[in-house]
Amino acid sequence: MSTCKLIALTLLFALAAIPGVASAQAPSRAGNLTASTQPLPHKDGGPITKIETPSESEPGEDRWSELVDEFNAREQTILDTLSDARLSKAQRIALLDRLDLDRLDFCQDFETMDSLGTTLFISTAVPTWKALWYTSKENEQGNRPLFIPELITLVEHCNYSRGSLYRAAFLLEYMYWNRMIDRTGMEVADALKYRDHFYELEFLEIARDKIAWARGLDHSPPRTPGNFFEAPEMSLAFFLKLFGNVTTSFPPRRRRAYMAMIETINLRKGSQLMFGHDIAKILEHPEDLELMSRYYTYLIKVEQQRKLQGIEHGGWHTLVKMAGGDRARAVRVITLLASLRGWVLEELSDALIVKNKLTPEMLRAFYSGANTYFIMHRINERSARNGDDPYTLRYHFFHPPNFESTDWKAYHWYANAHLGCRLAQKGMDRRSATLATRRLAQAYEALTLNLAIPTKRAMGEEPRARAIIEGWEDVDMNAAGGNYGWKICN
Amino acid sequence: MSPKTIHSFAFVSALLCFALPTTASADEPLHEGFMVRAGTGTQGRHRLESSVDINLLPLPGGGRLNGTHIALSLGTDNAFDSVGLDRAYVALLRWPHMRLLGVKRNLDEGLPLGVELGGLSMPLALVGKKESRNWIIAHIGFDGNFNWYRERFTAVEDAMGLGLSLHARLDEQVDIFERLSLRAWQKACYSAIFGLFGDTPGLGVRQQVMLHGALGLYLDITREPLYRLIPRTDPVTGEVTYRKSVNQGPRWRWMIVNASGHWQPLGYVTGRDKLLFLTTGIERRF
Repeated sequence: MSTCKLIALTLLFALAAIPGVASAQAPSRAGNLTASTQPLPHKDGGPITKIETPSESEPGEDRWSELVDEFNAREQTILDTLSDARLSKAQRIALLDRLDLDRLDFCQDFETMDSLGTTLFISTAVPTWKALWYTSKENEQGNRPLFIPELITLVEHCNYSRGSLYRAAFLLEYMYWNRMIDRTGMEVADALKYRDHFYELEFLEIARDKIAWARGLDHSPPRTPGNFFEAPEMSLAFFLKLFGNVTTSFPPRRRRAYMAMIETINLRKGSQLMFGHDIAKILEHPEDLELMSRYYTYLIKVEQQRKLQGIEHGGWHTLVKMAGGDRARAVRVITLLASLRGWVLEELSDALIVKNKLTPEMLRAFYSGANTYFIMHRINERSARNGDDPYTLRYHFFHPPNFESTDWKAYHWYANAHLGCRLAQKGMDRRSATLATRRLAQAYEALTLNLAIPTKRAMGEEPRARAIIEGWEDVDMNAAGGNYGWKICN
Repeated sequence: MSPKTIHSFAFVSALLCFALPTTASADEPLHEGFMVRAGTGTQGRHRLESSVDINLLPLPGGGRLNGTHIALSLGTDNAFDSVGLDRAYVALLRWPHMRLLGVKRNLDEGLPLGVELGGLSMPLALVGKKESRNWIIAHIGFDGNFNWYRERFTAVEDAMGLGLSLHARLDEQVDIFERLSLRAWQKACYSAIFGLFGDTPGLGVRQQVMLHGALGLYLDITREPLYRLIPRTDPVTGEVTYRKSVNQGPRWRWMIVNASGHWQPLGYVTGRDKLLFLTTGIERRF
């Protein structure tokens, strides 16, 4: 049976498996999410509840308190920024009159979420997107400059509930994925800043929830099951193995490489996190956690200083320098800690709290990682060079010398570089390792293309040909990452 | 490979071979939206054709999935004395990679009624960039259906059977000028049909190779520009430069002319082994 057909088989069954995966997570997530994300109880002390320092000092309390102070200050900065960009009072009143907020259900938390956010997006965010987008005033260039201020107004109206923050961020994120965030009338990186502010407010709230829980100030149940370390393998892994068994069955070394890769990815039931073994291991290396926090601080500096953005491969060079010249470590830290949508912050913190092992330094690293994922997009966009044709950009900043891409998804490259590295460490040859990453990318892209079709269509974006073309660019990006990772660890 | 894996794989394969055999004859699955066109063919029929993609399947939690496809083609001869439904295709889901549960009719191929069980295909982007409107995309896949063939609708003989098809397809789109584009597709399809054939006793097998293709000239008549300019500030010089991006929404196009046809170089099924059809029309598609 040909490779192509096997990919198609895997796709079908993966599609069938996804609702099962999502619903398996639903009971634990849904109940707890709803409990912890009601509109917050503050009235005039700022939109998000502050955690008070306990009166009696305990060991480690000072470090937690410092972190809380730092988070509170950061929150205030973001709120001030959002406040500066919001609508005038008359416009706010007009907007809230115009929208049917009860129907949009914008403030409430979501009940389920698949790992690609598709169901969430269609069912909970599209109605708001449509209501806002198609009623927001269009300027002469066809852009809607009021769209982001209107989103800010809605989030404010929801009292910064987690549901509203997540939806607002995800709407902008989806526009970015579909190359339409510039329709807000801003440069791409500037518009992304608002997406990231929304996410960061959510991360701050998550982080402070964890602190309260870790300090024993909050006795509510955790948002996630907290069993990450003991969780069994996710059922989706069966189909990935089945796929690999056929598409990489000859010669046998290729199949061994593919299976070793699946083992490294280590998907766990009830969790969004990949690389379970490696994540557990990185916790034993405080220097890696510290590197994550330091690198995030550096990225903030880069965003503030344009001359740093102009340095070819500047982000890569600095990362490797901070990692003591160890490129494998550099790749590992970004891959394992700078996770999409703060999954590490959310899930790993819970699991560690259950074991009474969460430290302020860990939490700071997880928080830094969550934000690093997003700030990397912004800096990637700002630092990119114009391509040879009128359409493309060349992204270089986070890649090593001699490599650049027209694909903005640097995190694909990092994750696969880490995989390639681990496969080299397990004794796999380069061709087998690269092929394994390519095969996995093909399965992943085939799956996500289909899942992306309805969401693209819902936003009026071309849902078919372009998704295929983009998917294949991603496959090449993944394979390039796998190849590089193998070389640096061989 | 462990015995458990082999067993699982065999089970899945058997299930798919049974349940996922299809048409692959739906034209332009990479373009979604509404189309109406009229034209005439070498078989002496004039036709009015229309197709639409709608959002029908409900999603858990709200919202609906796109991709339900309906295509109808009314035909007549010169004297208007045999007006009828020449072709029809209704698919519950028609995405580029996957089709699921359809009903079809294609009198050009001797098929008054067929049930499409499903189909899967793997796309390969041969040429193209995300932000460009010029691309070539290939698909390789398989599909399956259960068909009834009737001699009085140009089939070689009355027959009914389960068909399993393998197909390879190329889709191309090229801008000749900014608003004038050329669209084409070619498809080679091998089918094995297992079933009852004419007066032959017992179950039999027939094979067929069919080549399909189309070439069309489309003029974009939407008022909104085809491209927009995206500003960005150069990090070194501070200069604002612009990149082009496609405005991707559904667009009105005049299908100036579209030629489509099939050729059956090998095998069984239709007595009408060559066909050319010329149409003109309008569409609002992505």
